[in-house]
Amino acid sequence: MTHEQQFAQEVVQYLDASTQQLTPETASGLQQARQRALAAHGQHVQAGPGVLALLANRFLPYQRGLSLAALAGAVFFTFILTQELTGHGNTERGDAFLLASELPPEAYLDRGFYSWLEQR
Amino acid sequence: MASTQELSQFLAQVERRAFKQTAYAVRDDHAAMDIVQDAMLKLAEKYASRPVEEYPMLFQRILQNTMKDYWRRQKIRGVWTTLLSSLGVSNDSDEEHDPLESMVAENDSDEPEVQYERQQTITIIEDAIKNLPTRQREAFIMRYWEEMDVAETAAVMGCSEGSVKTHCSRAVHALAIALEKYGFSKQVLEKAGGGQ
Repeated sequence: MTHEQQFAQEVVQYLDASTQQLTPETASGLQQARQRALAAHGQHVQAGPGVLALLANRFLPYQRGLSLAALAGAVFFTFILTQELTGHGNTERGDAFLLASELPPEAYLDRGFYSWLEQR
Repeated sequence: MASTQELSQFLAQVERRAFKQTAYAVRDDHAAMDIVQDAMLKLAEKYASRPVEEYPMLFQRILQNTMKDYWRRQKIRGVWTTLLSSLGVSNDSDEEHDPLESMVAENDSDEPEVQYERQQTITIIEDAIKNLPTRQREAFIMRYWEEMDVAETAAVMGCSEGSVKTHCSRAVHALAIALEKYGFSKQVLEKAGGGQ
């Protein structure tokens, strides 16, 4: 132990002694403060940490991965939503259906004319 | 997670030191009591799920932050008091301080002379502690009174470990100089402190 530490230890002994000389009001106030804190702690323990707090603790180690996944999900959702609102996706789906169909494209051009011929 | 009993034991161990430490810093026993009470409540409410081993460091950090909040409020209050006094509005909340109120009851287990001498020494040391610069006082109290290691003290104070060592060293030298003015040498301290 250095001289500095020895000196500090001597001073601390006096500081410890000073804590035994608190006025009765102060000692009582500290005791009441402690009781209030313990009551608050008891309520917290009874209520438990709560579902959100438990979930937060459970997923805390994966915080970065979950954030990236959430961001990617948000981007994908925005893309899908944009496609639906603009109708661009419907057009693509319509062209694909027409080209993949067994009927030639001309069959869809003037159906009413052929029907009229058959009736004649 | 600490049990209520563990929390109770911890608070009973630290409450008196916390009060004195706060009183040295804010120099107002009523304010010190409020600060310690707030710190206890915050520890119990917000950190109930932490293990009891973390409590000393957490409590010190809460206590320091609560003291800073107090000083912030005092600063704002001071600005308003200055403004109001300049407008001629008196502040009736300030009460006259009676030095007799701050005198503590003497322990009659020792002889009166020894008791008086020890009380004088405590008063001088407490005054010297109060007069230390804030950072030096914080470092000294946490390192030597709360027996926290350098790393823990640095974490609570938000500075480097080197700074903690420097603050502690300067605090000890400042205390030594202050006590020498009253005729205290290290030997005298050892002799008088040996009876504790």
